[in-house]
Amino acid sequence: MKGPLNGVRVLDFGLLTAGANTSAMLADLGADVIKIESGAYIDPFRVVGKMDNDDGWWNRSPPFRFTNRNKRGLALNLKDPEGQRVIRELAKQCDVVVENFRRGVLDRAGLGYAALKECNPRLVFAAISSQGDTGPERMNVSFGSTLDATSGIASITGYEGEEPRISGMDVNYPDQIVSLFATGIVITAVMEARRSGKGCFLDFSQREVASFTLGEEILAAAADPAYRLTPRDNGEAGVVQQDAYRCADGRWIAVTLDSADPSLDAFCAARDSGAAVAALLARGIAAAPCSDGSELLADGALAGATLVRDENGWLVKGLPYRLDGRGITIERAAPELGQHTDEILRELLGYGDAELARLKDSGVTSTTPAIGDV
Amino acid sequence: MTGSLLDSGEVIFALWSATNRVLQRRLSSDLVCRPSFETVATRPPQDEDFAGPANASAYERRAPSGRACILPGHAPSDSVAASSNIFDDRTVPSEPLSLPLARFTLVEVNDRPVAPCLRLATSLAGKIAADLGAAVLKIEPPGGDPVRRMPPLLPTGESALFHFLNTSKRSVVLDLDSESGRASLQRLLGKADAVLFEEPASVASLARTSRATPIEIAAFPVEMDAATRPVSELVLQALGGLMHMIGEPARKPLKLGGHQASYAAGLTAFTGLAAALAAREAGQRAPAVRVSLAEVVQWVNWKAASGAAATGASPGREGRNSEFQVVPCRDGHVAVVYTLTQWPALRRLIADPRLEDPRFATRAGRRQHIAALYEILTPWFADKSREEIGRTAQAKGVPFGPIFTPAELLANEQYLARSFLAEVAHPTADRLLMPQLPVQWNGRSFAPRPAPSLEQAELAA
Repeated sequence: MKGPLNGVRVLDFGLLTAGANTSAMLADLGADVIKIESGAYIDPFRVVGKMDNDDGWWNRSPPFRFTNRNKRGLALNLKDPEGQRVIRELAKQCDVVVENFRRGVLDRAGLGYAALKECNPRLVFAAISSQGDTGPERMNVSFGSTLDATSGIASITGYEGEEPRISGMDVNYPDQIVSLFATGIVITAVMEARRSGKGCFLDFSQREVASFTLGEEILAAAADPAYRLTPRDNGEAGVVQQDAYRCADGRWIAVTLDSADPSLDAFCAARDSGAAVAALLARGIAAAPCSDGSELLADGALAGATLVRDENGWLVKGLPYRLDGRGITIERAAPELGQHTDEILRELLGYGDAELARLKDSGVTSTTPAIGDV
Repeated sequence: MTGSLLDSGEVIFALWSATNRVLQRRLSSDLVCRPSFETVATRPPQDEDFAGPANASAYERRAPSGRACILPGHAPSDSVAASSNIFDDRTVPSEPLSLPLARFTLVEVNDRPVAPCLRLATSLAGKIAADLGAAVLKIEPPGGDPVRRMPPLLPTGESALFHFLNTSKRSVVLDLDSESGRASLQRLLGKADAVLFEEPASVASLARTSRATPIEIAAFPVEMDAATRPVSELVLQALGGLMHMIGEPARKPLKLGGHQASYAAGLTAFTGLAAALAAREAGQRAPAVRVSLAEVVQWVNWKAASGAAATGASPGREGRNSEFQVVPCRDGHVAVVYTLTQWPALRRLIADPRLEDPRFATRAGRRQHIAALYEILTPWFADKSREEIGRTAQAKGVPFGPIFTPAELLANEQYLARSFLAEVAHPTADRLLMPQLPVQWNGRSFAPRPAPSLEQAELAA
C-alpha cells in the first residue's frame, strides 16, 4: 500500500477500539501493522461480536472485522518467557508500539517501554489508557461510557431538567475519538524519530481526550463559578432555536433556526419527514433526518468513505477523511487468530520450520483461543 | 494599491517568520511566563507503586508545568509561555529545545461566513498543530473570526470558545473579498507547508493550487454534492446517526453535549494534516486532505451501520432498557458500566443475594429483565457519594462512572496530579484553567500559548 507511513512497522497490542483502531488508522496510511494476540488473550471484540458457536467463531466477529482490516495477525503467548523473547526480537524491527492494556501489564511481561527501548531506542511507544500512566487513578479501569461520565460529557448531555446521559454501549463515544487524536500524535512522533533517531513514550489518557473536547466549558467554569452546567437537551448557547421534531410519518428530524418560530412543531407534525426536510432546506434552514444504522447503510453518498468492503465482501470501517479525494481499498481482511504468525517470524526473524514447529508445540504460538468468554 | 498590499503580504510573512523565530528562541531558552504567572502547584509526591516505564533513568517524568498565559490583549508578546521542554533528555542538558512541529508553517483561512461548526473544526486542528510548535497564521475576515463572539463567554465578555480553539496561533485580518487580500494570501500560501480552510471557500482554488498542502473541512461528503446546503452541528449529529443512539426510545433523540461533531472532525483533520506533513517530509507528494463532519460522525458511530449490517436491524437509543444506565446517588449520578467478564465482580460489589437469580446469569437474561435488575441495583447507590462509589467499584475492578461536571474537574485529583489543566493568566480573574493537549510526550505536556487578540490581528494587517 502506498502511503505516508510506508516503511513504518507497528507492533500492535491494541484491543477493542481505542488501541486497535489507532493502529488500524496507521495501517490505512501504509504502515505494516502486526496485531499481537494470544490464544489465552484474544481481542475482546472477537467475543463481543460473537455470531455463532461453531468452530472458528472467533474469526467471524463483525466489530473485530470492522476494526482490524489491513493488519497482519500474530498469536504469541505473552506470559511465556519464550513469547516475550520473540516480542523483544520483533521490537528491534518495528518503529511503533500501540497498546491499551491496563497500566503495568506489559511491564510485568518485561515488554513495557523501558524494556523495549533497550531493544530499540527509535521506538515510538503509544500507551493509551483510561487515566494515563501517572496519577492516583492510573490503575483505574474503564469501558467506553465510564469516560462519558468521568470526563464531563455526560453532565451536559440529556433532556432538559433531567438526569445526565451517557453515549452508551452502542456508541462508547470516548473510545472512538481517542484514536482520531492518537493517530496524529503517533505520526508526529514518527516524523521526529525519523529525524532524530530517537523514539519516545506517548502517554494518552482517554479521559483527558474526552475532557479536551470540553475545553471551552472547563475554561468558562474556571472563570465563573455560577456558570450553568446541566444537561443541555438539544439546545446550544447562542442558537435561537434548534431541536428534534417529530413528523407525520413518526420520524424525527433535527432543525436549527436563525430566528425563533413557535410554529415549527406543527409544521413538522403536518408533513412526512422527507417533505419537511426538503421544505426547510428550500427556505435556507438547516435540517436533516435523524438517521438510523439501516439508513446509513442504504445511503452510499452519505456514507462517503466511511464504509468499505473487504476481499470477502464483508462490510468494514473505512476512513474518516479523504486523501486526494479517495477513501481506501482494503488490502487485507482482518486477520484470523494467528493467521500470519509463521509468515512474520520467517520474514522478520528468519525462523525456519524447526523453530516454528517448536514454538507451536510448546504452545507459544497458536491459532485457537484457550477461552470462550472474555 | 494592489502593489502595496502585495508588499504587505510579504511584510506579514516577514513579521510572522521573525516572531516565530523569536518564539522558538524563547522556547529554546526555557523562558517561562512572568513570575507572577508562575503560581502553579508543583507535582505532588509520586505514587510509591509507580511501576511504569518512567523510572527516572528511562525517561523524564513531567516537570511541574501547566503554565500558560492567555488573554494577549493584556499579556504582551514577551509573556509567551514556554512549553515544557519535551525533547530534552536530562542527561544531555545542552541539547536545544524544540517542539515537534516547529519546522512547519501553516495557514488557517477563516473565510467569509461559513457554518460555525466547520470553523470550530478547522480551528481545533490548527490549535493542536500550533500547541505542538507549528507556526500557525490564522487569517481572519474584517471584524474578526465570528467565533470571537461565540459563547461560552468569560466574565470579561471574551469568548472562552475562541480562546480555547486558538491557542499558540498568530493572526492577521485580511479581506479575502478584495483582489489585494487574495494576493496577500497567495504570497503567504507560497511559503506555507499546509493550508487549512473551510468549504465553501472563495479561496478554495487558490488554496488547492498553492505550494501548501490543502486540508479542507466540509460539512458533507463530496458524493452528496451539497456544498451550499444549510447546515448546523445538530443537523450533522442527526444525519450521521448519532442522535438516534441517545435518549429514550419513545422520546426525542438527543445530541451529545459540547461540540462533538466539530471537535471529532478537528481531531481528524489534525491527523490528516500530520499524515500530509509526514508525506512531504518523506519526499512524497503530500495528499490533499478533505474532512467532512458528516463522514466523521458516521465513522465515530460505526456500530450503528455495523449492527444493522450484521443483524438487519439498526441499534438505537435504549434509554431505560439499556444495560448501561445512569442512576442517582447521594451527591449526584453514576453511570453503571460493566463488561461481560465484570458481571461477577459487580455482583460481589453490590452483594445482594437477589442478583444470584438465574434470570440474571446471562447477558440475554439481564437484558430481558433489565427493569427488575435495576430495581435491585439502584438502592445500593442512593446513600453513597460518587467518590465512595467510584473508589469501591474500582477496588473490585468494576468501571462504574461517577458523573462530574467540567467545574468539578477543576479540582479533580487525577487531573491535578497530571497537571492536565493549564493555568491561564488573567488581569482580573483569580485562576483560569484550560485543558492542555491530552498527551504527555516523554512525560512532558504542551502548555498552550495565548490566543491572538483582534487588536494584534488588525495591527498585523
